[in-house]
Amino acid sequence: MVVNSPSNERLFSTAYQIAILENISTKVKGFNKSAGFLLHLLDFRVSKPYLSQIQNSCPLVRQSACAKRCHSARSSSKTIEYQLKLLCMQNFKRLFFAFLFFAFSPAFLVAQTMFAEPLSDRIANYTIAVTLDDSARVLDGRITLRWKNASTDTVPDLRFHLYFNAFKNNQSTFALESKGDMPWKVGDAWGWTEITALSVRGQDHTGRMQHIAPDDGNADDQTVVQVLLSNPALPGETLEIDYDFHAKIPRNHTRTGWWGDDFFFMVQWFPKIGVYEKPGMRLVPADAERGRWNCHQFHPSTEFYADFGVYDVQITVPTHYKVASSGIIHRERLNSDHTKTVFAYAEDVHDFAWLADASVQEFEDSYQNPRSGQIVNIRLMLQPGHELAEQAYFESAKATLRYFDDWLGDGAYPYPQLTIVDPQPGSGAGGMEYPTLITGGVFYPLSWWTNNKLRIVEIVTIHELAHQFWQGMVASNEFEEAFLDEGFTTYSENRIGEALYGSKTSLLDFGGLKISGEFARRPAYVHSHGKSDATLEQFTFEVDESRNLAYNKWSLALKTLERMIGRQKFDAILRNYFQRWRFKHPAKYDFIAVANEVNGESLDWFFDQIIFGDGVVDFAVASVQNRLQEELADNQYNSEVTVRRIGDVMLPVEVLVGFSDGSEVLEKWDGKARTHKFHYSRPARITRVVVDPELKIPLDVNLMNNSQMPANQHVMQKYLLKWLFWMQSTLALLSVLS
Amino acid sequence: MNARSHFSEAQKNIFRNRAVIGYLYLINLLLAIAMTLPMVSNIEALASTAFAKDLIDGFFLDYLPDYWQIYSPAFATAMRFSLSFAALYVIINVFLMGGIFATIAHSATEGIREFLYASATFFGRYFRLFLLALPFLVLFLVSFALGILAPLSSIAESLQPDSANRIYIIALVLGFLLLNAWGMLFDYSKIVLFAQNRKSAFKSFLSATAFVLKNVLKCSRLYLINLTILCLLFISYFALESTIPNTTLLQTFGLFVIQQIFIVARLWMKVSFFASQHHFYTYVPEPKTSGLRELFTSAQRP
Ligand SMILES: [Zn+2]
Repeated sequence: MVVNSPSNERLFSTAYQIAILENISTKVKGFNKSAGFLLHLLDFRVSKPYLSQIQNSCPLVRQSACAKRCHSARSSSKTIEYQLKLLCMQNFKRLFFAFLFFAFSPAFLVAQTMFAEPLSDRIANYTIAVTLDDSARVLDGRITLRWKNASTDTVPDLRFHLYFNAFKNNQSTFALESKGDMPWKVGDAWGWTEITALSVRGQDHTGRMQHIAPDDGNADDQTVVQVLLSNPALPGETLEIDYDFHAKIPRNHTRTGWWGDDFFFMVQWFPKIGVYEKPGMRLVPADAERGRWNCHQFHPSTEFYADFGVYDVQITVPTHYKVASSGIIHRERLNSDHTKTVFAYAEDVHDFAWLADASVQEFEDSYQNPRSGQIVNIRLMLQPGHELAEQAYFESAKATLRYFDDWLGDGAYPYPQLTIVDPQPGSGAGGMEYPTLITGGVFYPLSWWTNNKLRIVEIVTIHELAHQFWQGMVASNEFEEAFLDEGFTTYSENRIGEALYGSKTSLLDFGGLKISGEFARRPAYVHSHGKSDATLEQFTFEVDESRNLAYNKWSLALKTLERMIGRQKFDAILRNYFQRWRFKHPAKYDFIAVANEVNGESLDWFFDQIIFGDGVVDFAVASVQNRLQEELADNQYNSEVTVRRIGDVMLPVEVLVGFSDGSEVLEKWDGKARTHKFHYSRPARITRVVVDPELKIPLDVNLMNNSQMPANQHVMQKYLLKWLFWMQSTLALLSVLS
Repeated sequence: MNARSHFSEAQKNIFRNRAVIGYLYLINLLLAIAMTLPMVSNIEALASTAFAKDLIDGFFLDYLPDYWQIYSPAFATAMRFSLSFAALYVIINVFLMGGIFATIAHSATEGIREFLYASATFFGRYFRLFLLALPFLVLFLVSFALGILAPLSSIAESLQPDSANRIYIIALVLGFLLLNAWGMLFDYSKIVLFAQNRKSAFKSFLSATAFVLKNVLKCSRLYLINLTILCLLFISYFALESTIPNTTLLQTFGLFVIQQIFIVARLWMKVSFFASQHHFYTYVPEPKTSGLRELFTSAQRP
């Protein structure tokens, strides 16, 4: 947290700009040291993301600071400050001239920047000043949006999401699709957003707005507003759109809103422009005459989609609130009216979320990439009473950042800060991802026995953090192709969970009971297989169905693909897909194209059936026959194995055949015919047959029919005795009644 | 004589008549085997799969959905079957009550004939007492829910999670004690019914209530001794179970032996509750109670 008095603001922002300028001026070495030192001279306490940034761009500072840092991450803030001070002292003279040089150079005029080069195309850039009235539960804001028409079309209109209007009435599309589950219908739970004034290029457009319902034509749905431009946006033109909005905050629903007396989780909170998709982008055909707005209404089964940009946000709240947000908070100002203004800033993100919570506690830690030295500051907003979860949050977040660096390439998470919000219990804000800000959740009483045994906090953190990559950066459209974010994220969650906490025990390992992360995903898929069809747009699905498809089928599908082509090849595909499509908007075809290209040969046989088909995957052992050839002397058997494809999906599958003499044969079957037979003539009989023995196809909906073998006697004895004891215990307990 | 002497006298008495524990254990084991038989095919199905080996390390649930979608009907049948055996077990235990008391009331060892004869003689009366105890159990549970749990949880809701957890723990402890109050009242009802050879289950209950109210501290002390030992038994079993791995055949059987000792000890403790309280009841000089009037006069005494 940056602490400084209002009078120091100007000085501070000057110092900050100097510090950040290092990113774009690598010529003068040691510049950051001067910046850090100047900050120190001016008695500024620097927030950790700044330090991360200064360090990330200055190898000398990084190295020495790292040595200390590794010992105690928690107290590293002071250590770094000390290190900076020390280094700066040594180079003071040089630095002072460097400072003079830069202070008067044109580069000084460059605005605050986080990254030396933009990481994204920065189409939608927001400057927002918003004020929270916590007693009225109202937001008032003023926005300047610089939106770039990146297409070659002249665009006649603009479209904005007004998400809060989903909770405005009981006839909104959100309400109708929630089928009566409308907790916002009572008391102060309603929510809505209104744009009170809007001008484009300085011309008033307030009267040129109308609510539209592009998905279903529902006249009562006001979650999308269209602005008819007096002059269309020309190709390549950047429009400056100024607008005021007034929003009544709903009681927390779909992660957004107020809860209790002093908790405000502000997501989907401001009127946000849709995405204008040009020909060839995502699902718009390359030969289409012109592009189209992709600005869906708010549905209960879908999430979000937006363009990348820069967010410069001033949040004014009563002084007793703690504020956390996307990006970094670089300044805080006390106002005379018992409020304070928090200055937040984020680059190359497609959304901006913030939290105002009066009772939350704040913790800090950091992750450092051991190879590149890149530092990510981790800010945890933890509810009182959840202290036991602190380690779980930090350790899982750090391990996940590390995993992604190893997996997708160093610097996979390029931002200087990650904020984790542990929301108030009951607020329903848990387990959600926004760029550089995620929410976790403690959904059960924490105690010594749940720590390191029940790993829900960890798994949720891993999941939401994985979303920073799959959707935060590889920004697929969650309205239309939720499996591209939830599927990839769930796959990552299972994989990282298994790597960190064991393949069978990543969710629970207590008293002989073991649950893997995958287990949480498989039952729904197994019970409702054959329904999923990714050719439909996501928002046309029922809520349960869309979740099942996006999370369960796809996480299992990716695991199946990984095992079928091998982890090395699969990881190369993912790495390429990530590197090519981060800060862009891919569709399923884009992933398929990368997969086919990197794999070297087409994987359409997989995608056609799994993405575009709704077939069932089920292979089984149909029968095993052993015929003793009595006319032959040495117990020669003629044996036959029949395997069957019960589901419609045809995948190559392995069949393991084991014989009474201990020998084994691993057969390959293309899985195309309904049945297939294997014949053997050997001096031993077949004792066991297993289809897919290495479980390469977790999509198989019935693993019970995959094998025929004699019962494992140890397992029989163990579980029969266990069952017997449970029955005895039950009876002993019941005898209390008599 | 203090509570501890009543308790230790009772243990000696049970030891002399340890055959009773044997009968109780045999019945428990036989019925549990009957309840396990329908599960054999279900467990065999699980053991005849490629992932059976995963089940040796622990109960690995990943394939449970696949298992469940096929075997849940068979499982449900097995459970229904088990439920009827459980009901039978409760009735048998009611039946044996007369035999148990006849055995522990006399310091001399009784044979199986006497045991069964006493059981048959008292069965009708103990059955009526059992029917009386059930609605009282419901009453105790309802009063726990409405009188303890509801008000405490409304307090807990406004508190921070850690202090809220403490409130819930207090509520559970109070509920546990209330349940034991029910247990104690009906233990003495059984004792009164046998010791005074009462015909009426209800009058036995009233006399027992009067007796407990009159000697509430001594009764509670004795009850708590039994309860503490029972709790220690559970704690030591769970401690043992969690330290012994169950991955080799030898460990599986070793654990099973420990489990059987645990069951025998639980049945012993069940008899110990009766025997020690019976010892205490017969020790208190006459007149103990004389029905309804006595109950109210004793209850009004300071
Ligand atoms: Zn997710």
